Amino acid sequence: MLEVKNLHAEVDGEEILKGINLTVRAGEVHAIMGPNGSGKSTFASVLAGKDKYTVTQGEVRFNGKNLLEMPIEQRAWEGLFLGFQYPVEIPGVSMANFLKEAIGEQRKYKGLPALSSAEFLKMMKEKSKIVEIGSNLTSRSVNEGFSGGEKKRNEIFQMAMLDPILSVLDETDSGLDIDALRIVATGVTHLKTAQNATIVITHYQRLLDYIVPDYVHVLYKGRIIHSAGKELALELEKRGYDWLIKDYDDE
Amino acid sequence: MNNDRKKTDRNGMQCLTFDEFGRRYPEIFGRYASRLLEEDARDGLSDNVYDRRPSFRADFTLPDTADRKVLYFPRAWKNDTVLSFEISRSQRMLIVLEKQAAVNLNFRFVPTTETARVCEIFLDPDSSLEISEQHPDTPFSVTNTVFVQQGTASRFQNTVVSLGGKALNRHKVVQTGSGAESHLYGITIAGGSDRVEHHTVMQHKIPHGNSFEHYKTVATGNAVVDFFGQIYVAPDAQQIEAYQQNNNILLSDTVQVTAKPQLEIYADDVKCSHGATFGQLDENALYYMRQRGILPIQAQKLLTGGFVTDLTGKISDRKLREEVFQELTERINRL
Ligand SMILES: Nc1ncnc2c1ncn2[C@@H]1O[C@H](COP(=O)(O)OP(=O)(O)OP(=O)(O)O)[C@@H](O)[C@H]1O
Ligand SMILES: [Mg+2]
Repeated sequence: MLEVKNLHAEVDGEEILKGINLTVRAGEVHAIMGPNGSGKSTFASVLAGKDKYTVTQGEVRFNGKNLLEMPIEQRAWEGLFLGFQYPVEIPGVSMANFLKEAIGEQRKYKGLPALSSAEFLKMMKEKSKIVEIGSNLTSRSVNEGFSGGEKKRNEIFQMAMLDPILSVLDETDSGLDIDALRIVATGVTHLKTAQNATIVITHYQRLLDYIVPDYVHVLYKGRIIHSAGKELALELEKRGYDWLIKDYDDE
Repeated sequence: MNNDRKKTDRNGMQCLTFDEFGRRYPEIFGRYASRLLEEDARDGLSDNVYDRRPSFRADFTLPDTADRKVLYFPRAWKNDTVLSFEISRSQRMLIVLEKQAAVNLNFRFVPTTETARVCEIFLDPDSSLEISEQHPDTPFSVTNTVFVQQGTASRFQNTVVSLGGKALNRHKVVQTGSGAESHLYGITIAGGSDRVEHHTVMQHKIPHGNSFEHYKTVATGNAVVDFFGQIYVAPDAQQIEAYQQNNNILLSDTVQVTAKPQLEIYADDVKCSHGATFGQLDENALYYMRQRGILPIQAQKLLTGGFVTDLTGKISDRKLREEVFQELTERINRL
């Protein structure tokens, strides 16, 4: 589904990603961990197509197509969803109008007929249950005045609405209290199918108790320096990154 | 005076020509008509504030063909639905609200020729007037001058929506009673070679008064949009709160948008602030929306509409509010 080969990217002339290789197949969950500043969010942004990053080398194929050639919105229509580490507030734009527009364009791209207002509202109602997000939030402006936890829940609500093929969730667990973490995590698990895949970027094992990864990767200085099964997350929690980093820096 | 008042009370609200109203209610007419124009001339404000731009006539003489109308609302008169008026040519207007009247008016400019309007408004104690003014994008220039005098504990709110063309709006509000509240809001959407100016003068002459001013502009193309806002607080007019804000979004490099606040505060126990911002649409919001699959052009429209909804939200009548927002959105779509 996703194939990343030797991906290099820079921002303002500084190279941040220095050759990332990653393959994600349908039905898989990948966790990406790594110290602050190692390039995790950068990797997510480069996949999404954020303008400020320049890809200097490598390639990314998504659904067999060249992802890096597509404008941001087309990557979304193809089924790429990015759960933002810092979701953006959009004053004056209602959740309903925002999602209506997003889903409308996606359906157009897929050649599906537009949803009627009734169908759309029904969908909003159903999907909001998955993350237990109240209509008091969905009737407001996008993220405006939402608490940190509400914003993260709203990300998963949008993910549920857009039904992506690949979700990249950037620290969706940070800033959540225990209940919210459970709600968000079970929401994500609920949305998992054999056809889609998830990349979770996180610092904590606790999220991975719910969303059990098939692979755990450690990103350091713009490269994946180590990959293993879910037990790696536990080990990192106990021992930190030093032992991996030391080996890597020594080489 | 009492004779006049009794007659009008019986008859309810009046909408008459100057001549007719003057004949029927000479005392009321004499008390109000032209008072604010004369006072403004004494203030010399017209020279100071209004006459900066040679592009508009600043004198208040109107052509003979101008409409001359009085809207008179007797004591405690109230309306549930908005009273709407279309303005298609030059006009003098006098609006008087007696005590406790509560009125909601809508003026829609549909000029068929170059149009000048001069309107005087008197708010008696405890009265409340809400106005929305809509300027569509027309080829005819419009000069709209409104003078307001507010008595004790009165409330005035004006929301002017300018959709381009060539328009000059002047709103001057004078608080002459304590506990008065003034709200001046403005939305401007301008593109092409549109030229829109807003001049506001907010005068606090008596202690204990509040005023809130907020103007927002979205401009593109070669549009020129100016906001001049003066706040005046008289000596001894203590415990005043006066706020002014002006936010502008510039969608092209060739627009010219100016903000010129002018504060003249002569009392010391006053809370007063003003601020102006100029910027582009929020890059992060655009990115976020595109990541969800929204086309950049659609994202831009949603963001622009979102930028002004807090001000259309000030219009209390739901139907009118939705109508105004709809019209705004259509204008944005044509930018
Ligand atoms: N405009 C820029 N110019 C130079 N360096 C930048 C710029 N923007 C980001 N960086 C750097 O890129 C590196 C990677 O940042 P990124 O946000 O991807 O890290 P991260 O792994 O997500 O960290 P965290 O765990 O703190 O979220 C950081 O060292 C950051 O300082
Ligand atoms: Mg990060």
